[in-house]
Amino acid sequence: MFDISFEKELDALREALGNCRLAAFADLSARMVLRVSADERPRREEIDALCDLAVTCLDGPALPALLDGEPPFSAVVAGTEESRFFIRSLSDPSDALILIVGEPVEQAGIWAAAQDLLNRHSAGEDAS
Amino acid sequence: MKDARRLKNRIRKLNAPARQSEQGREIASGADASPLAAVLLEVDETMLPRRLVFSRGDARLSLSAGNRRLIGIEHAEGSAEAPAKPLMGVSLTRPDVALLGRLRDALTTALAGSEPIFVRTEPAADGQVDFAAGTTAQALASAWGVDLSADAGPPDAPDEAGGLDMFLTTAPSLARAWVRLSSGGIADTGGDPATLGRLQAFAGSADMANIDMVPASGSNRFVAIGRSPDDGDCLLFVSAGLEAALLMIPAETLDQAKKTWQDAVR
Repeated sequence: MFDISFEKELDALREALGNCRLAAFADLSARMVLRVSADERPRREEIDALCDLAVTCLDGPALPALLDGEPPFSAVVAGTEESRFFIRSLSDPSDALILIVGEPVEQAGIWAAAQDLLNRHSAGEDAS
Repeated sequence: MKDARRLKNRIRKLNAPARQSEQGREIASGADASPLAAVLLEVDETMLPRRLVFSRGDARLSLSAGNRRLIGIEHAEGSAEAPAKPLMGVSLTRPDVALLGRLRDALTTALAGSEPIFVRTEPAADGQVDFAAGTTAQALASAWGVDLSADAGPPDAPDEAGGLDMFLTTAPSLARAWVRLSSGGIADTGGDPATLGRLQAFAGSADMANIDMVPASGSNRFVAIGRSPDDGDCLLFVSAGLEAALLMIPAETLDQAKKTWQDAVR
């Protein structure tokens, strides 16, 4: 279960990344965003659209055939000013983080920070 | 649009009076005819693996080309062969700045003069097809400041696909395979046949339709999907207006591809 501390973890992740205006935790199997940290509280429609985009990019049934049989674990929808990153947990494939980060940004840093938070979340759930 | 420019160039050639000889087809004439533009235009129109034999006066220069890429210098002879000789057999895949300079010097010196430039096309010496070998004519033209459109009539007006064209001509020597889509159909393909087959299958999938509906940034889309940043290949979808492309690129080159795309559409 989530408590207030997970939103603080998302806040800390945004601060660590710098120039990250939104971080959200989604359950891909339920197609729901469960926690959000953002500069300005986003509208529900924006959150739902981001969740749909995460499912499109990470759960498309035809994608594993392109990736040697494995599902995608990372995706980026890039713009010139900011990009949307979708990172699936290596520990629990239904968990994912959605991040909107200002450009320029390198994917490796986003990946490492996101997986670190997702792993800690999974470990916390296993322990509880 | 580049395809329209290419078509115009082809029609111009077909309309030109036939001046064939054993040297081949005349492609440029006059003392101010640029050997670089003449060579690069021919390379840019060469899809299948071919040997292109250029001649000007007593000079001969044989190049291998394919997939719109200059693959290498095979042979040079004549009064100004010296700069080309050391480059014979040298790989032109991802050339560094010094090699680009030597190549430019070799092409301009080998085909200098005031006589017409001719080209003859022959089957490739090597039957092997490596679609990633060499460097695209467009990338070489960009590096050398050669305007290929100048030889092909007036430049086309900028259009939505300009950024996509620029991206596809300057970046993906990175791509293992690519599919160019236009108005919903496959317009062109290239790369490793096995990877290309998977891309073509994906192009007709419902997932592809969903990705094609991802909200655009302006009129452009860049969507990359993979495993992790340094693991295997990733799928790249780029689009501008009704033009789009699917590519498979090594995951570690994604940041580079993203920056190239951003520079192209900015």
